[in-house]
Amino acid sequence: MIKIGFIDDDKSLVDAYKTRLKRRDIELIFADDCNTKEDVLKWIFKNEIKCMLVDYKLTQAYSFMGTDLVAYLNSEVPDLPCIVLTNYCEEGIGENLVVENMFIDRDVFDAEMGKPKFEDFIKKLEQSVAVFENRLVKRNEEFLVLKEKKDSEEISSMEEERFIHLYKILRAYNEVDDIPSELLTSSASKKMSDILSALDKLIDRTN
Amino acid sequence: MSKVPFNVDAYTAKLIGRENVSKLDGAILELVKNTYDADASICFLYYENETDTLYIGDNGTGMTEEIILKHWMTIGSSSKKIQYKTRKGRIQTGAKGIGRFALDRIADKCELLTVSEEEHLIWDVDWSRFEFGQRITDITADLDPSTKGFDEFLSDVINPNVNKIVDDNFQRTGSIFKLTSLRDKWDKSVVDSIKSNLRTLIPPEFKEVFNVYFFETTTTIEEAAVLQDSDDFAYDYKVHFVAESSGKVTVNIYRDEFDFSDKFDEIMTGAGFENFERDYFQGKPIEKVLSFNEIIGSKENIENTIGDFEGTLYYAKLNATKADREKYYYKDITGRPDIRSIFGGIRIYRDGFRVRPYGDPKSSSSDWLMLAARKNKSPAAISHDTGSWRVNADQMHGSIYISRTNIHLPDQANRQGIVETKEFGLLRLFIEKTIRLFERDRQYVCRLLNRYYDELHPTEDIEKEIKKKLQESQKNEETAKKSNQPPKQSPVIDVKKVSELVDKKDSTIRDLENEIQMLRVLATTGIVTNTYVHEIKDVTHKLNLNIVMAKEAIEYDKDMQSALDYITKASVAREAFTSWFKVTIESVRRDKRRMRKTSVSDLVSKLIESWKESLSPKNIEIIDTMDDVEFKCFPYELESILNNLIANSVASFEKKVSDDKKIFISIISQEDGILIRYSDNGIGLSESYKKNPRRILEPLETDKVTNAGDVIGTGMGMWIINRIVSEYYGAIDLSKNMSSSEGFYIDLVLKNKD
Repeated sequence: MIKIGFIDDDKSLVDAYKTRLKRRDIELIFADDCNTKEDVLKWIFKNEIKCMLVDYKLTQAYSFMGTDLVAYLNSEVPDLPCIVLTNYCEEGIGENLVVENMFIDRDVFDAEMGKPKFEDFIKKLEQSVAVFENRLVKRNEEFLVLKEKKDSEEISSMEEERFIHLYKILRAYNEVDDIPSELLTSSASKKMSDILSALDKLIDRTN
Repeated sequence: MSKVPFNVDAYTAKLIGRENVSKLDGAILELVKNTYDADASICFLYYENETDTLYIGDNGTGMTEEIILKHWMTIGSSSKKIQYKTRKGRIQTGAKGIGRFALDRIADKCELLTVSEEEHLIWDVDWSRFEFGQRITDITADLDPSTKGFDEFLSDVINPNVNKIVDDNFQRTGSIFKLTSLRDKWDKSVVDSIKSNLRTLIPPEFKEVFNVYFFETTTTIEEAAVLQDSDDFAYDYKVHFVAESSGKVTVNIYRDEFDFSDKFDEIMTGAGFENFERDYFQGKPIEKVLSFNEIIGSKENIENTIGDFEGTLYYAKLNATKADREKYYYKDITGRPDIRSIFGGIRIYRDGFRVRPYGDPKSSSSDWLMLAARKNKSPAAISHDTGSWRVNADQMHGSIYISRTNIHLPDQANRQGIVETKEFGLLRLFIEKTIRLFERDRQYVCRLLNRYYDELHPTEDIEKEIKKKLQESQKNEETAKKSNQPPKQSPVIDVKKVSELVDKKDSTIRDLENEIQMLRVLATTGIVTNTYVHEIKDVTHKLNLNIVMAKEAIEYDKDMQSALDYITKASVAREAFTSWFKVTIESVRRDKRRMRKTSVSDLVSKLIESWKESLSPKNIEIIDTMDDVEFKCFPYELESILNNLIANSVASFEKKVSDDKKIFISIISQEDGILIRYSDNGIGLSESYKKNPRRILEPLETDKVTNAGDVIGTGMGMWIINRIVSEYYGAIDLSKNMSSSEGFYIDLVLKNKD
């Protein structure tokens, strides 16, 4: 079953949406304990969300619009597909914060099963998740290359930053083992090896 | 115990009769109908002032003893209930056997000579013997065989023309009543009223088979004929239609309004008429064979459940301006009589006899098709390029022929019209739609002629000429100033040309005004809907979603309880939907577009109530204080004002973070009108408008923009308010907005229009 995240300031429709998507083996998870955009990002990682549905007008419960949130998520996790859900696409599109084809009219949810409108929507969700998963594989490969460089201490500072960023994302989706990320920086591992060699010397002396 | 038959008090029987025939006119008409039912070709009435006697005679089939006994002397019996076709195939018009009551209504004493194939009879009744306390079976009338002929029966008659008409027309059979001891005083006004009633009782087209004469002592036969040849009135358009129960409808439209005389060919080509139309201007009718439903123009298939019926409608205008006569090549209508004052409007005839009160002249039923209201709704001039021209109520008259066989059009029990059945409504609609066919044709012709006229009379040239001469004149003045000489005389403009130009401009302005009035109403609906498009879409989505959910719960889960829950939710959405509908659509309801005395507090309370349903989910509260005041206005215009204001307030609250969202409405009664004091505690006008708030009253001014800066307001709402207020000679005060930091404030004064 694939997982899709959903954020909306009106909870009244969530259950219906969940039920409908579940019939198509899609699990819709509702973000209901977030306050800030950062909270939303944490929530996404925590729940291993691979595609996000964002309501356009969030203003009843949040201090930002759906399009603001998507802009933020796009910069933090560029690979994560974020779809804006709205009753009235024209207005959100006019803001030019989110690409037009990432807007979907809410009425897809009331389209009947078997009808192209609904089926196309399901396909779009499935494909979005597939894209994200494939990208994760690519990112993992990139991560392993960088890791090798790092182990041989050939890594540049730019590459190192990228390496940490990838680690955070891959870690969130359980693609790599859990290590505190501070330990991944060169200086940290240098310190560690320095400490270890100092420790070696100390042991030698006592011997 | 022995069997005792029931009996009736004679006086009571008489009273029952009086209930049925209470008016003299009605009694006479009943008797005339009876003569028609007797297959007569002639019916005469003769009132002899000298002897105060009334004769009513007909050359019909006459009556046998059996008929008199059974049908004239048995209360409540009528042969017509069972058998309603006469030997000649006429459909009998009387239905209740109330002829005898009519006799009683007219006079105390009645003598009848009736000659049938079988026998000659004299029947003599004295109705005054029907007294209180007498049993009806105790009263007798004399019925004897007679050897008298009609000549002898009429030997006392003073007017020889009466004898002549009888000699000439009463060859074998017939009946003549001689009524004396008349109950009414037959003065001139009574006689005139009866004559005019008889004239409308029988349709002019009937003359060939049945004619009625009314004689007084000195009347000639020609004068006595109720249906005169001059009744072949002049008309501009005639529409004849025949609707068959099979659903087939044939409509013939006759154009008789235009006279191109010697310019015929020139106009036909110049105005752009098709070749085949030449005949239509020379007497040939435009024949249309359509289905009943095509006439009605409904999407559902509406069948002719009325049965066979037909009719002839006439359009005859009573006056035409010189300009119009010239433009549209109208035939000369000088001296055309006002037929409607005699004949009334569109009348209904059942089997040849008037069904009153439809089309009664000068009565409220004269316009039973409500053509006047229709005209008010679409006041476009005939030449208007796009607006639909509608006929004036006082320009249409005609006859609709129905029959006893139209069983879904039954008479009302009191004989005052037809029961308002579904079919009667359908009949009304059908006639209206038939009138539309004529209106379209006339408008088509007039539009072409109008365009042709414009081509021949290019006002643009006149305009140019005037401008040129004006410049010339200014130049003259300047030169004169420079040279200190008196200016040359100004160039002369032909007054006729100017008036032509002014007329043209006037008619353009009139057309535009008509258009604007209608558009304003429709625009408010548009503005309000536009403002709430999100909400309406949201509610639509909820409604649809819950229905789909319910369907799937049944289809996939067989879970009735969930399905029921979803339907309940859908129902909530539906209510919300209805409440939006109320706000947006309600104000254009037809009856609100009529000027009338309106209880302002009632109207506004209802409006606020319908808004509350949609505003309470947004935490917006409306607080109102209202004087109880009546004000003559178009209700929709008051609603337009408030709908526009509330729509603006709601948009303003969208940008407000606090939950304190209030609208205040006060209606205050003033000496010659009302004051509407309106305010809200929203974000108020944007800075640029605060400096000069009256700018918001200009068209296309708006500060409704999206976060992205796109203009979403139409900029028409406040302008519409301003237009409405100025039509009530009112005033708008926006000054408080200049000094307040938040909220919007407006005072509107509306004054009585008359």
